[in-house]
Amino acid sequence: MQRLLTVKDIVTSFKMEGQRVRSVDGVSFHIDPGEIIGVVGESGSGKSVTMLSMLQLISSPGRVESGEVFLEGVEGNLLSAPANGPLMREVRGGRISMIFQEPMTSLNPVLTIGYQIEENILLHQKCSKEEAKARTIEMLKMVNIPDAEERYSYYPQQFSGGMRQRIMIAMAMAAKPSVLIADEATTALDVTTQAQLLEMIRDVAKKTSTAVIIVTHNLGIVARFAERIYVMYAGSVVETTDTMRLFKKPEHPYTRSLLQAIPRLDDPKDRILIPIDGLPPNPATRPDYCPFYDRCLYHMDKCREQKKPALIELEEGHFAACLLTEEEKAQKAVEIANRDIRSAPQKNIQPDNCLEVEKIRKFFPVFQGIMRKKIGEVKAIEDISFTLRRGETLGLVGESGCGKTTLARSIMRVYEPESGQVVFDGTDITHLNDRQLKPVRPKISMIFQDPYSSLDPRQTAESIVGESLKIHHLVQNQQEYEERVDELFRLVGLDPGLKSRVAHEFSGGQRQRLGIARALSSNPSLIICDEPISALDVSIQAQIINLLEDLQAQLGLSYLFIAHDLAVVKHISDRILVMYLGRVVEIADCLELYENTLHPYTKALLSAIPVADPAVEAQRERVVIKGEVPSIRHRPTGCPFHNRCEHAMEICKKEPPELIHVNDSHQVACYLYTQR
Amino acid sequence: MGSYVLKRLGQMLLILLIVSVFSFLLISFIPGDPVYAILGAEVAPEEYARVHAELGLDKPVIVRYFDWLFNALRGNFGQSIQFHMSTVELLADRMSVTMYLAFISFFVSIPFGILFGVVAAVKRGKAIDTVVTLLANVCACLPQFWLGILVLYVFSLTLGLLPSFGFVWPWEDFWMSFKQSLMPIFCLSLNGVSSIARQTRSSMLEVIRQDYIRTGRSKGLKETSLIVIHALKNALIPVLTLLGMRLGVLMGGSMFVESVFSIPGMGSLLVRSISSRDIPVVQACVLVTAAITCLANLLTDILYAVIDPRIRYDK
Repeated sequence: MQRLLTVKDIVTSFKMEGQRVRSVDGVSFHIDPGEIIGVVGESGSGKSVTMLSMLQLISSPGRVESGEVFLEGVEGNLLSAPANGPLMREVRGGRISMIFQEPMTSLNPVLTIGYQIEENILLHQKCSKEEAKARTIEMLKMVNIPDAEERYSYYPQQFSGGMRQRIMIAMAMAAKPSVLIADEATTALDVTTQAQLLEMIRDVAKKTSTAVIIVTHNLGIVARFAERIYVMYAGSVVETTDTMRLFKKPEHPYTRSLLQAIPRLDDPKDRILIPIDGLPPNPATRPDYCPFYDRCLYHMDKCREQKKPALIELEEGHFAACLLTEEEKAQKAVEIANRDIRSAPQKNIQPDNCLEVEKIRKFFPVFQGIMRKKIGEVKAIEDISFTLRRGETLGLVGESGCGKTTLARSIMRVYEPESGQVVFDGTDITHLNDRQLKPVRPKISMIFQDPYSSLDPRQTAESIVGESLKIHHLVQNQQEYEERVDELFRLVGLDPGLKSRVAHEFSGGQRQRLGIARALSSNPSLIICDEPISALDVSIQAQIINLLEDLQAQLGLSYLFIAHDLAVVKHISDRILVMYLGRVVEIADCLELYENTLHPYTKALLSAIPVADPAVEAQRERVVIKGEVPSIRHRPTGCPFHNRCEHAMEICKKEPPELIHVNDSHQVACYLYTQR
Repeated sequence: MGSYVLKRLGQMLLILLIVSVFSFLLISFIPGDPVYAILGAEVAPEEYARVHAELGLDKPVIVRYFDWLFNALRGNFGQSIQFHMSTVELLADRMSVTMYLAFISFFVSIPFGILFGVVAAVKRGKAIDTVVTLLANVCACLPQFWLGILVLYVFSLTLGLLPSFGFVWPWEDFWMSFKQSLMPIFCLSLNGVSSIARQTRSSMLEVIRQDYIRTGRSKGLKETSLIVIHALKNALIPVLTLLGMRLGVLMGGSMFVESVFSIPGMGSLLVRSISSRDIPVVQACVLVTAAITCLANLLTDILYAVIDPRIRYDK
């Protein structure tokens, strides 16, 4: 059968420190018309490079060494055509289009979006300028850009991230390509926007029978949208089959481990994540044998003795690159199950409150003009109330711009709230001055999102961790200091021997461990974790989540866990607080929130998150949310969600609803539940 | 936009006022006496006292400044001490020569500078890039007077191809004017070409790495249209800053070239007036140069908004 696109054995290398390093090492795949395939892998697995190689878009110091690409309707191997010759230029954008990850930088800032879309049409289709313009506007309407005629002459920076990505889709689809590559196209966006966009891509693709390649690290996305999946690891495809089979019966140890390492929205509460130990191999020092060997739970001696395994067809349409036989894997699986009985750490929640937040507000003034006259206020957070018990984890969820960070900073007393109360350990800290705050400061710590920029690049690991010991006079002498630093290193699973290194000598996961050690150093009772794992790779995330859970059980810490990934929040939290545009919409115990979701926004949010299991995905009810999160400066009056809510009533537009108790463990701010 | 321009013009007036105070004070404090400059060192005391009073030098410096300021506000910049003519007329005459040369060299250096910069960036690491970069680096630091003397030596004294000094307008004698202005314009432009080329190259390299260039390439655009339409417009934004500064430099810094080639422009006038303590002329020259620099900067800022839609001055 003639495939739409067949890629055979692409090898791409980059020149690094004088030697050529293969970042893609013999990748093959194919796609049929109208099919949606997923390519999943961690960062550095070579998934994007494969796509760029296919279109000969690799620039120096990279080079496509070998491989073949056959596209239906094109004579011969695409890779043997000159990189910027007429054939390749015709294929790019005309036959195979690509959407990139960064919507903020992928559009040219000095050209109107209309021009940029039109350019694509004029390049590949024989039509007049007027026809191209008409088609551009039609495309903009198709991707749901309101007022398309007017916005045709807007510049990219006049749109939000989600809108820009829609424009990218319009541009990519404008010349009616037969293959669309979405390279982490929704990674930088909020979950509800992500769901909207992917659904749109799928609908458009099915309507026009365009084949779609979804490149992502998110297993949930491929489970929901892809029909067939390629799992990549260290530059090679390690497993491929249809989506159902991959999730039901994963064959390659890497796929199996990956599925065990990620938290899922439909997990039981006591599920234990089994992290994949170690790090993906550095391409420069990748061994000849199976690249997953070092991290593989199933590995046997023969894996090390033979060359890297090729894909073997296990059953029809299911390939895996593993040397082990079915029996060997089954036997190993039993061994692993016996060896690895790790129970979930014991929670120890005390009845007393560690933190009480009562109706706090934080407004930021808006200034304008030369005299910096105050012209208004941004109500970043408004009337937020909650309590956090000692030893408890409260998850704080909301999309970007909803005030999560402002709330965290108000609790940390980086900001002084305009009104309301923050009571920490029985002390009202809302309006304390710097001197009065001094004894409170060490008791509240923070773990930051980006382990790369939140550590001083010139400070040694030791001084990063030990600095607050000195600031708060928590140690008496040098010897005590050294002992405490070593203890902290061991506590977070780092070798104290690494003390004298600086931040860039650590991997991402290790850096986050350093960040945790720094937060622990002052013996805090409350740690605010601001998206602590979202910058890490999937296989590393589980390690950090487990570490945080262990530390909590060991030290009786309370966590305020901020994240946008509801699956992770659900896994780690006891209770969850959902925010929307600066207000609390729902607070509930973790399971209660999931099983008895009340607020329409929470429903939409939960439904937008794809679950890494196609069988579950197929049965889930979808609540599609319309529109985009408005800017907090233009928050609607009344209930902030009313203009996107399908149940909105008259009263919702006038007064914001109060947070009311539905039962002991569940509070919601919605008129649907007060009218009863 | 309109209110922004008005605001900037207001700021400009303030700057000019401050500049005039400083230049007036400076020229009054440096040693030397305009009376001796006019009458020579051998002068009778009575004669000295008469001219001294005539020039208003017996009054305190603050009074002199305000006298000058109020006259200047009425458009009267005083008499030139050395030329015995109205400063305004003198300046109008000299300035047109300087501006003529400055504008020609300004507009000559832009296309060449951008062309060399783009070529070097696109052919990064190739031989042509090395040559252009090396030449640009060398030429950007050649002092103008040295360069002037060098070309003068080669083309006038040794080869005898071009006249060594003087200036006529092209409508008076086109061929002569062309020959006379060739060397000065070359000297004035070379710095500009090389600094524009360097700036264009580095900002082009920056832009070529951007994601939207990859997007453009993934659409199937030709390399030439990618460079011209998508990259160049972005890369020109920092070049624009440089151009604004160049214009100021050309107006104010033409004194070396004018002195070497004996061109009766504002630069040579300023040099002469300083040495003869011709305060009214110095003041006027400084003020004009400052005003032109300010205007060039304003023009640059306005052009930013035109070329880069991200910059909008009044929301």
